[in-house]
Amino acid sequence: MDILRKSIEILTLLAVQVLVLNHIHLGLYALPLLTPLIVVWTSYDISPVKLTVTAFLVGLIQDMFAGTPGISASALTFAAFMQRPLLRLLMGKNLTDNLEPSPDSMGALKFVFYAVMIFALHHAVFFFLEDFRMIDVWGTFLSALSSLLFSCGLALLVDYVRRKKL
Amino acid sequence: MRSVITFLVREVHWLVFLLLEGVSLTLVVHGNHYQGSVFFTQTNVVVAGVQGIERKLLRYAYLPEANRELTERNVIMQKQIADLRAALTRLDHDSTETERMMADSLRRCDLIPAKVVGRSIRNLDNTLTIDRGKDDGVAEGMGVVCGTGIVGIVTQVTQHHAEVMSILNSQSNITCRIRGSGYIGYLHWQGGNMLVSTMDDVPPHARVRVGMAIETSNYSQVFPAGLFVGRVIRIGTAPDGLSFRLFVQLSTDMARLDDVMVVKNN
Repeated sequence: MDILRKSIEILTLLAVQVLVLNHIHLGLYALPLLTPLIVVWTSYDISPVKLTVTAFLVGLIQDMFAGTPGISASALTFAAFMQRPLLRLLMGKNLTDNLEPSPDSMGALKFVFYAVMIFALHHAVFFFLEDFRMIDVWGTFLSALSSLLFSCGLALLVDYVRRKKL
Repeated sequence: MRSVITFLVREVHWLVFLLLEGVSLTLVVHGNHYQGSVFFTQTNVVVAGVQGIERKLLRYAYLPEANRELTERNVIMQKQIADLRAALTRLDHDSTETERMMADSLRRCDLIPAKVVGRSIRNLDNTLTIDRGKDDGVAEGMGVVCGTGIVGIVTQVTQHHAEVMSILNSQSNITCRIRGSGYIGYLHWQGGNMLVSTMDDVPPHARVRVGMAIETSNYSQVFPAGLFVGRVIRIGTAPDGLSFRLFVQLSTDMARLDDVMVVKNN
């Protein structure tokens, strides 16, 4: 049942991303990217290989719809790879093997910081690969920052709704 | 051995991560036109730099031998020059005419001499890299020629190098005309033989025969009119059946190209 629930969550996030969010460009700069939530929600007992491969496949599907082969796949794979070190760094001795990242299990402040860091790592790779040449560094930075703020706000809202439903 | 296997099993997520990132970045470079073009330009700069150093070193290493050979050949050539000059004037009148017309066309333009430091000739979309860039006045869209004819169009420029889309590139379309009759068509390489290109869209009533010269037209924004391109070796019908397709023996052999000139203005 847990696998089914996780699969539905991933597919729903993916559908919202490719069908709705990919078409929104707020003020020409901010592009909301919600798929890193898949990484944020993954519990610590899931093997890193499984998480990295899932993130890669989700990114690849997102790329197929956005027409940007490899960019989301690379960014999401990187975010997935960094999830465990980040959790270890934040939780220290309080880290348990079956930790499900949430405000209840981690504390609200730590959870928000953890989620923002996952999104920041993802956005850094995503916007670096999208610009690639770093000619318009300021424009890319603005775009990444505004997207990060927009994505994080939206992600925390979605996370709140998810916890209320569960 | 066992400890290596244990280590690999324990750290397999690193291998998976590196593998997946490798696949992703390959997709980024090969699947996105912009990212691919930036990547290949940057690698071209590095490769061109290394090749330039290699050429300089090799040239220096072979200098004494080259000097001895040159002296020997100089003596032989001194004797041949007089005979050849007379024979050339008598037998190759048409070629002399072509050279004169090319010189006339290019005299009106500013030219930037450059050396070819990298090239591809075996692909469908071939390019050249030359050792002149923005700092030397080269800009995108400028034409590139050599002593025997046209070479291509500059597509990307860095500070000290430029990438040239060769006429042996399926994306290249250059407006040309048949010398003498003035009928216009598009020179477009279809792949295969690197000495033969095709000229399409030539009207069916055009008076054309094998051996006629093809040159750049005055409709071209890139090349001055009258630059020699090649000669018609076969006349066919275009796939639409409404125009001629001329097969043109190119005057420039891209495989042996070394010195070129960038046409600064037209």
